[in-house]
Amino acid sequence: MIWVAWRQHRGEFLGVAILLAGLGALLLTHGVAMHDAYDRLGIRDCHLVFLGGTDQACIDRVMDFEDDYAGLPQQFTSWLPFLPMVAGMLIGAPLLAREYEQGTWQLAWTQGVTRTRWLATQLGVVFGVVLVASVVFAAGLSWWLEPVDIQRFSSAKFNHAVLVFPGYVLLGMAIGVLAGVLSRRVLVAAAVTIPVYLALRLPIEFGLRPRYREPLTSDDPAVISHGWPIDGITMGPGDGFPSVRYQPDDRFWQFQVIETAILLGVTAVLLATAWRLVLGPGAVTADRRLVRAPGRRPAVR
Amino acid sequence: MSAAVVTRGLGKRYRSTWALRDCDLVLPAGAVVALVGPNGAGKTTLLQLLAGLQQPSAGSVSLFGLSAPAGSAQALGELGYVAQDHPVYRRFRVSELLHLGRSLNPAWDQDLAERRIDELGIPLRQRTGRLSGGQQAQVALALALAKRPRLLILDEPVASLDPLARREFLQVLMATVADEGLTVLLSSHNVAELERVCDHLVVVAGGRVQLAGDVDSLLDEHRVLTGPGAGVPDGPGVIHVDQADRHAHVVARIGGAEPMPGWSARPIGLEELVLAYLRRAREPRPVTSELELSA
Repeated sequence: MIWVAWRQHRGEFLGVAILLAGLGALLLTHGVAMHDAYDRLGIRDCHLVFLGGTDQACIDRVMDFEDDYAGLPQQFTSWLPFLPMVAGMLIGAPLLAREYEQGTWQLAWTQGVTRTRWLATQLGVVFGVVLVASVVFAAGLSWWLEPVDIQRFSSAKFNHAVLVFPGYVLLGMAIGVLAGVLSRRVLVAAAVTIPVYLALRLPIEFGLRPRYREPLTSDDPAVISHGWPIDGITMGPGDGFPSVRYQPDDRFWQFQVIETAILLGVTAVLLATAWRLVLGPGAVTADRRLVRAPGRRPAVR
Repeated sequence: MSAAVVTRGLGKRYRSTWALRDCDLVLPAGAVVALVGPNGAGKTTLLQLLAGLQQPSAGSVSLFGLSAPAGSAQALGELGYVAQDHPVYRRFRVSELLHLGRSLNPAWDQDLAERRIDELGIPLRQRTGRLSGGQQAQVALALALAKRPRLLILDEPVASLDPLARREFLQVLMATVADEGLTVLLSSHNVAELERVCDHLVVVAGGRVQLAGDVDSLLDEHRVLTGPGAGVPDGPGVIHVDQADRHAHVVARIGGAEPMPGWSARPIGLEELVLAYLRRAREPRPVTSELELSA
């Protein structure tokens, strides 16, 4: 049973393995060099005083470091939030839609195991492999991105941490699976995954994330530099540093847990709906093209 | 003879439309049953209900007197199912498809499967997507048979095959049935291609069973009566009336009775019988049928 699920999705798993290998190569080349430079140039200490902006030599070193190494991570982190969506399109959407599209659901569900066991194994194997891969992927990314940003609580670091990133991957997959059950077409399901993923992700990331807890307020740059200014920092006309609302760095993992819980909750709802559609008493398994009103003339073949 | 399939009041509704309703059937064990009807008559719905691929909206299904419902592990163990267009995983090799059968079926007979594939001259390493339609159908059949089912269901098994592959497929199927005493239920919109293989008939049209029974008894009980165009008889035994200029041809279920004076009776063929019931199901609409009556 597990072998069957493994064999059916071998191509997808191979793609995942290639992606992980690509990331590994990137970390070994660019990542190792960047970490070396980070330590060698003492960027960590400079980052701490950066916002104070007094030590010109330090600022120069940080600028040089960022010129040399920050470009690639910034490019990657601008499109990596779409990776969970791509996983949903390429792995989630075909998971059940392909069975319907090719008619093989009738083969799978007339073997000697019940549909419940079949579905549990399919989802378990595919989601299990993807979950493990995405945790590994996020761990690698987190290490890679460590030196890049001044802020620990930057969106780049938050999005690719080992909790939230796998959470979004599971969400993307679940969207694809449900779209596949509803549409029964691989391409339609993959296409539908895009707007649904964005419609769920954008409000969570930009609407909810800054508000998981009441932000703190400070006008001390040294304090704010250890946090995430949720409205950005706008220098006022006066001399003093403006009063800024921020989430302190020590809330990072708390926020990770909250956002991951939200993502897993939505994922569970989507999967439960797909589960019910496949297994429930009103299971929509008929080929609707075959249904015509009684008495109406069937189409001439 | 014990029953392989018993359905009581079986029905399936999609929203407000009944694809199949009030279906009461008893199919004897060991029979080869032809399920015949036009496209969209409800054949596939019936077969999927029997296999547990769909849940009935009304009524019940029982296989071999089991109390376990269709779709349970026990009922699935009795069943081999070859769906329309004999779908298989196209990226699998034939050997991997057999591996699938072995992992999913407790009573799997690997020797039987390999022997059948070997006899067909299909290489085990071949990808199923590269097989011809006829070979794919044969592989799907081998997969269903190696489960060691007592009931084999085939949905339009030969519709997509060329005439040669059609013939070969039915030959292989019938040889197996003769060997193993399987109960076979196969559907078609073309009765002619099943005429030589079936001994039991179920006619479905408009989502209802129109006729069911042993082929020989049905042919015995029905006659084509020819008589004067005026005074055409009416009654429950009259299935269909074909009014020509001066004569009327009447398909009637008369049992062993003699025709009325002035009327002559001749035996009826299977196609003619099926057509009469389909036309009756269609009345009072214009009599046309999409049944393919030519072989």
